[in-house]
Amino acid sequence: MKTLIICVVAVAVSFVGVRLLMYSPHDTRDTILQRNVPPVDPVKPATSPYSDEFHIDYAFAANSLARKSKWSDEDAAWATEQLQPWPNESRPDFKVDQPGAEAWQLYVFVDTIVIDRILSGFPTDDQVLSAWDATVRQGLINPQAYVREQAVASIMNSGFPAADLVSQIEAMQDSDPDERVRFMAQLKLKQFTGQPTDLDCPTCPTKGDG
Amino acid sequence: MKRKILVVAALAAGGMMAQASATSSGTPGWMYGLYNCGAAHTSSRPACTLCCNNAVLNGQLDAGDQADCQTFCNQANFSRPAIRWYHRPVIWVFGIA
Repeated sequence: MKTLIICVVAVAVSFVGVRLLMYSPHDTRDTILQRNVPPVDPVKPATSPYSDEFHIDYAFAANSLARKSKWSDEDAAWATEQLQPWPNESRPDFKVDQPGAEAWQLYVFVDTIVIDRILSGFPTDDQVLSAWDATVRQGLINPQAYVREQAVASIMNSGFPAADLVSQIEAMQDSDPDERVRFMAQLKLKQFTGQPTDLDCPTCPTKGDG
Repeated sequence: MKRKILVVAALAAGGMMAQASATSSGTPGWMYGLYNCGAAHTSSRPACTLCCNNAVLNGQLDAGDQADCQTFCNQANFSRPAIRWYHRPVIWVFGIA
């Protein structure tokens, strides 16, 4: 009996210990992607459902765009190309069997890179900033909920949202027809104004479909 | 001696259970993002996004769960030095059920 109790306690101690080790403090960052984030292989792995071309593009974004403090004109042009407003009629989806999955994947990744550049103060070409601004403005009124959700997050996560966009997002936190968009708007507005957030995710479905 | 072996085995089992609960392919996307992409080896939103995508490419995350993993990346506040709520015992012990 004593051994059993010791074993149960040992399982519990080990479980908690491993959990604690998994949440060590973040490293200091120097570029958008830290040095300890390994480069992405442009060669398609066997398990990948995506195309060869997608892997080349994704690796370029991850290995080059996300690690350069200064972008060339070609870099800026490529990023601008990915940041085109999402078409109203196209449902964004990460699932590879859905049309536009690769474009959405690239769009979201480049979007996060650009907003992190803005947030971190890296110089970013006006062409890219204009494209991003136009895209998120269109995104807020896109009929697809995932596009609106991404636009809300993108605007607020950039750290310096335009006042008119903040007003629009304030209205969306109550009026958007989709619960997950309302939740994102509420959460990001709270973070923006320094209010405590729980970050529980009651609107996150257990199985994403977008 | 037998007791020592049992205790060591129990410690290993507990550790493996903790890892498995956070990394199994059956974990919903948001939780995968929370436990694998938000704190373990990343500190920026693009790195979090990359982590979600890599998980799909490596077969650790179902493609259908990637949207929720990305939602976690969008929701997390990476501009702060440490996401304090990660350390809430209630979430990381009971929130994985």
